[in-house]
Amino acid sequence: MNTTRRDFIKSNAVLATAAAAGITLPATLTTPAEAAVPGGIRWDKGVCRFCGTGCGVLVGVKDGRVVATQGDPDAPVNKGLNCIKGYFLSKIMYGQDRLTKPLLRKKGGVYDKNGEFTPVSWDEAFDVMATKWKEALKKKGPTSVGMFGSGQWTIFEGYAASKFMKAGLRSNNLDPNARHCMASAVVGFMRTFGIDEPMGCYDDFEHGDAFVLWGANMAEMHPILWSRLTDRRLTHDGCKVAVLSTYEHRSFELADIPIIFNPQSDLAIVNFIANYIIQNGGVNESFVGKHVNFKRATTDIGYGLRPEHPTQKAAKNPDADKVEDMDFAAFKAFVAEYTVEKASQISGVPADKLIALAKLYADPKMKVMSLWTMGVNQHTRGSWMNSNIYNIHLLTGKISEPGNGPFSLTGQPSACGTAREVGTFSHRLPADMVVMNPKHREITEKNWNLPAGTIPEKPGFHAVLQHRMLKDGKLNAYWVQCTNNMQAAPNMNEEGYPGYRNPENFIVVSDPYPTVTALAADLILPTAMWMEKEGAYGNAERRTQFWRQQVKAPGEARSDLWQVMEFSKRFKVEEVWPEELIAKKPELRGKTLFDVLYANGTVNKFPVSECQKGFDNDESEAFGFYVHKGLFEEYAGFGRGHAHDLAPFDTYHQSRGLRWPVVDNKETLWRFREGYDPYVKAGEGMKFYGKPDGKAWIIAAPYEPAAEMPDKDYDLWLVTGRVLEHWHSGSMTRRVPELHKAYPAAQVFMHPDDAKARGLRRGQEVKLQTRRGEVVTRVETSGRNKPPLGMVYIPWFDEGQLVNKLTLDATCPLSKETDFKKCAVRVVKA
Amino acid sequence: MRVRKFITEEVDNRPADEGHICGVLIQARPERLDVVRAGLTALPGVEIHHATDDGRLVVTVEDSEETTAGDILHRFHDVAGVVSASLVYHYHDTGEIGEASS
Repeated sequence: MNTTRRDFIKSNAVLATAAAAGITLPATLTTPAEAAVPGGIRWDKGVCRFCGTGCGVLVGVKDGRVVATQGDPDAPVNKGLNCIKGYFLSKIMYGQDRLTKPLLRKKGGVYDKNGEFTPVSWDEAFDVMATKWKEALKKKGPTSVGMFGSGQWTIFEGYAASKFMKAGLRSNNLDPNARHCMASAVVGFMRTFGIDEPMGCYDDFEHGDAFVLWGANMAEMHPILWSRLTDRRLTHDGCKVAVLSTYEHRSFELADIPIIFNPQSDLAIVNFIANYIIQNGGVNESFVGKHVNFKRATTDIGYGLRPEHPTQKAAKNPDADKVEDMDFAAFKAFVAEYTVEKASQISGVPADKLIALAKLYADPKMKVMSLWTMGVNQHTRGSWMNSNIYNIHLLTGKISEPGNGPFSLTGQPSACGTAREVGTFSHRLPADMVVMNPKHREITEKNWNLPAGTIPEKPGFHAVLQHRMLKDGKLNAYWVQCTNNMQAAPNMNEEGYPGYRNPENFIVVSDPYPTVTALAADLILPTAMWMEKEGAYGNAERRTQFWRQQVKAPGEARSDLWQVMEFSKRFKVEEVWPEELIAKKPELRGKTLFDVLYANGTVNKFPVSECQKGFDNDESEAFGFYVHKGLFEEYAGFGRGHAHDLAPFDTYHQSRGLRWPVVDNKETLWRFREGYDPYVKAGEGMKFYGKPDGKAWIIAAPYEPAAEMPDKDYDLWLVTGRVLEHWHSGSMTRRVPELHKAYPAAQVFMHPDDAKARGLRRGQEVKLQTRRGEVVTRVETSGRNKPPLGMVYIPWFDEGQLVNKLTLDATCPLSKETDFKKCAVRVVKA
Repeated sequence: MRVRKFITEEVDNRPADEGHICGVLIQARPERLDVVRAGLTALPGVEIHHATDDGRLVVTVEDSEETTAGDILHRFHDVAGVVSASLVYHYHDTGEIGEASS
């Protein structure tokens, strides 16, 4: 082994680590023999590929390969640190089964739904695909084509896809996998504040006195933010951490107030806190008087199931999102029934713990940061629960200032930046606009230089509905990009799988790897990933971050962006638009969708020569203009001047990300408060400007039971989720041998007494059975997760144990986000 | 459906000459620094380069004959007295680290 080179790499590792910790090293350690090092590494800034935290990483490239990554010491999010998954970033692109050619199911040389995957050219792939799309459009119209995208799409990819679907094909059947993770958060923000995304930012971690985790296991799922929270807890006198969950996990190690509650009972706990605040003089009366309106939610709204499902039929007001006006006195009366006794009885939490928790919020001197992710969002009352948490921050005025704020954490790297801000949901348009609003459609059509009436007014099929419509044969030509939705979506046996394999349908999946979803498709398109393309993500604190293409993709793999734009060339306007629409802009006649959407004078405005010298930019070289810059500048036009201001494109390549709204090159840390937010004028103090009258809504919503609860046949709660080592469905992390070895297979976490009662031992093979399916796994009774009696937990990363065969496709009726945390299961010997 | 294919094909076919070097920042309880030092040094491939009085340690971990750097990273949290372990730097290559070069 060459010691010079190894010592050099090692001293770099030492220097970087010391720098991240702000440690000054003795002189002997600070002088690596740089001159003696052969073949330099090119370093550039990037963004982590995994969760929504948005850590900055430095990416080292040598001979066309990513060989090193380093926590970016200049990144404000992670200040040089990485979590354990960061270790594997340089390896995720180099799995041995990377897809390098389009694969079409063929028999006897032609496409056959029951054929074998056969390598084909991009031309053949797109030819077959275009034929299928045109057939569907001709037969049933735009509602028969659809696309499922991703909170892992770059901003450019989401925006290009949104234009292609909503304007090009005139179908709103575009939804992202973010529907499964953030939709309830979005509805909560829109209902309470009228504008999406958190008012505060990660700086709150360094200013808070108390931190309350509503169901989130940050120690495993958001480790870098957890390290910031831990620092504050250990260095700030009197700092308290409350951890609420339906089972005990690693975050409990830091908990001053540990709380295990019964599934669904968070609704009762949060209403009790509101009641406690009111009963104990904790209401910030001047804040509430000036900045808040009170509303009452419609109740008994069902569970987002198929209309013929008995549970859905039993609901009085299925899917109703109407609210009625109420006043403070009425709200006070509404929460009065949530006494500590009642909350304790519903939740199973001792009264003294509930009171200790409520005191954190009620004490006016305590700055509180509330944090949550999937526990609150993946909830059949997730939209309510989001707003309920805002209720207690609004009652106390603990919002929009350093250390005080409700903070909705994010699971995917660009669920905010792409899915939400670009608006790739079936009802959304850029900058929080929606397809149902004629004014919003008009603005969008104008910005896109399209005839009035191009964008359809009816929302398209959301994620869960897409699988139902595939199964029912109403959605027939379907493209999935950048997500493993067969494994991720609920009730796979009854909806997803029959939908994909329905003979009436043609399913296309773009992915770097042969995932479960890809293998269930009819055509697989090989995708360039992460550093193989120029990209932009937006994280949970409104920070937009860019990176440049660092390396080439293997074989014929191409980015999702290239795929959408190139495919759009296959459609002439006459083939997809009715004559009366074309007649409104006859100059578009004869053009392709590529010409109309991308070569439109705006997107193709910037020449390839503006791309950074020394770096590849494959899409721009392919299309002959700086694609990313053009798409971004057109997109940014939607938000500038409308409280969603993004900086000029080039600024992001020069910075470590900026938090929008960026006005006069200045980012915004806390929104809605004078002095921090440029949209609040001098003298206004506070202004929730997302609402016409500048007032946020406190929305009264009660406890209502879960869609499916344990009974005598299926006697346990089933909760699904993640583990530290694997990210989501494991399509990247499981291709890293070290991670695979560290956590090779899913297991069911179970209380030892529940195991004993069923005659089960630790490590034994068992069957998990629900009304929908069965999964074989092994029992773990003493691992990192400790469920209470009556509940089991299983992670869903393992494609050998398809956990979503078990789950129920019940959703929050308002957000249409699935509740992956609650259904009824039984555990028997295998 | 054909699943788990990559597991059988890939994990069994790991490149033999792969090399990893990581820089890790360890936070220890200051009063237990000695215990932490001993615990870390006992792990294969681990070197402590610097430690501060307030409990921060600058550590490297590389592949050893017994195991890989990646496996060791998972074991830091089990060392008594360690509050957190954060990866800062990672070098990974196939056959590069050991290659003779001028």
